[in-house]
Amino acid sequence: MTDDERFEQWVREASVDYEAPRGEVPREAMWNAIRERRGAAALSMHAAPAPRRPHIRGWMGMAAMLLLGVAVGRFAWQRSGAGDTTQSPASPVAAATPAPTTVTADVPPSSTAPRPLPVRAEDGVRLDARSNTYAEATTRHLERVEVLLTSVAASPAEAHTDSLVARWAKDLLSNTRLLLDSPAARDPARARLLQDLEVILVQLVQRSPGGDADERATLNRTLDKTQLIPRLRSAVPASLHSGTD
Amino acid sequence: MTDADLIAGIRNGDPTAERALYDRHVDRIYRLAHRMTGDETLASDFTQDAFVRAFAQIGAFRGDASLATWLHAIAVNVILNGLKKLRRIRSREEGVDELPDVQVAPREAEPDLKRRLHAAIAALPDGYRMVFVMHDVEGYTHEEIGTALGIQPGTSKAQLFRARGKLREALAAFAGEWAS
Repeated sequence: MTDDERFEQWVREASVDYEAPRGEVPREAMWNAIRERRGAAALSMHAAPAPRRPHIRGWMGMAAMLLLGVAVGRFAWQRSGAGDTTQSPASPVAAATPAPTTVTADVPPSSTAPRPLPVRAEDGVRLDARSNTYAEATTRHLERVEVLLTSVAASPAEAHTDSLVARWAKDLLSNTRLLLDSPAARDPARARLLQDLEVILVQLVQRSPGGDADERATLNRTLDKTQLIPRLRSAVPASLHSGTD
Repeated sequence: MTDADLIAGIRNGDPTAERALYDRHVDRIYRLAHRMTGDETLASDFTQDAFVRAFAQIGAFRGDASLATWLHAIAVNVILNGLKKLRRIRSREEGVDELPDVQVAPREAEPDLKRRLHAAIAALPDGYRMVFVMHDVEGYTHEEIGTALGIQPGTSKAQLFRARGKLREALAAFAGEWAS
């Protein structure tokens, strides 16, 4: 037996227990989680608008309304004024989508508004209703994340609002993951956007209430680096904001 | 229940078929995920992701490979992408500039050769580690690895060769001790 062969044999024998799971495989727990996730995916893809969890409307309702108020006010101001100059028509989502054969469900085309998330027409005319549903679900989801991120960027760190934001982000994080697993993520630009959202949402979920300056700085750095808010504004049609609840 | 029965059942929304597919493959996929992540929670998350994705994409399964191979390809993809994402999140949280250099422990600090080997395996690039773990630890064939990773079996062999070479380099200070 050569030295190489001895080494290979030793490596095989010595690595048998490399990171081997200890104990039983958590079969039932994983199966239950899979069933829940599949059920949630089915719900989020068929319901329009996407369902909201009762607990968010419950005891946190007042606080959520407060945050929403700040976000919507700030957002509306930016849309009507300086916001127009920040929107790039060559946004990643829009740029990745061929222009001519697009249809929007209920939004009339506008020369000034960024191009809405389109439904592609295959073979010239045939529209895929399923794609339409995914596109709508994605747009509404992006809109909600935008509101959250705008709120976070606009609000000072406080323990109460941070825990609220963490719950809100957790809710959005699960939907982001579902969308990443869905045909909505087939568009590479949209997939990149969703992946970046996932990162920032994880940071928000993991942030400790009243978080320290470092956490806040990390969050701001990620927002700066990824330019998420401008990218979201480009991806979500402006007219959809005024028409949603 | 044959693979064809399982596929037909899952496509028709039969929960028994889904559960049968899960039971048949979950242990192996979970074990692979655990060996690649070294973490129960991550292994569980990746295993779930793999099955959620498989059930969602079963309509696209064309039968070019066996159901097990197809499922493992999804799992391998989920694991490698998941690891990549984790690194991205961690590097953003810590800041790339602040990441500590990988320290090579002096020989005296780690006398246990087997532990040293495990550390060297953990330090392999994900692609090499996946091939190494699948072949040398979990006993997959190069054909199975090739299909799961979307590479030729010959490439899988070459990657395994390089992975072992890196392990040997990392254990150079102990040359010959494995023979004793």
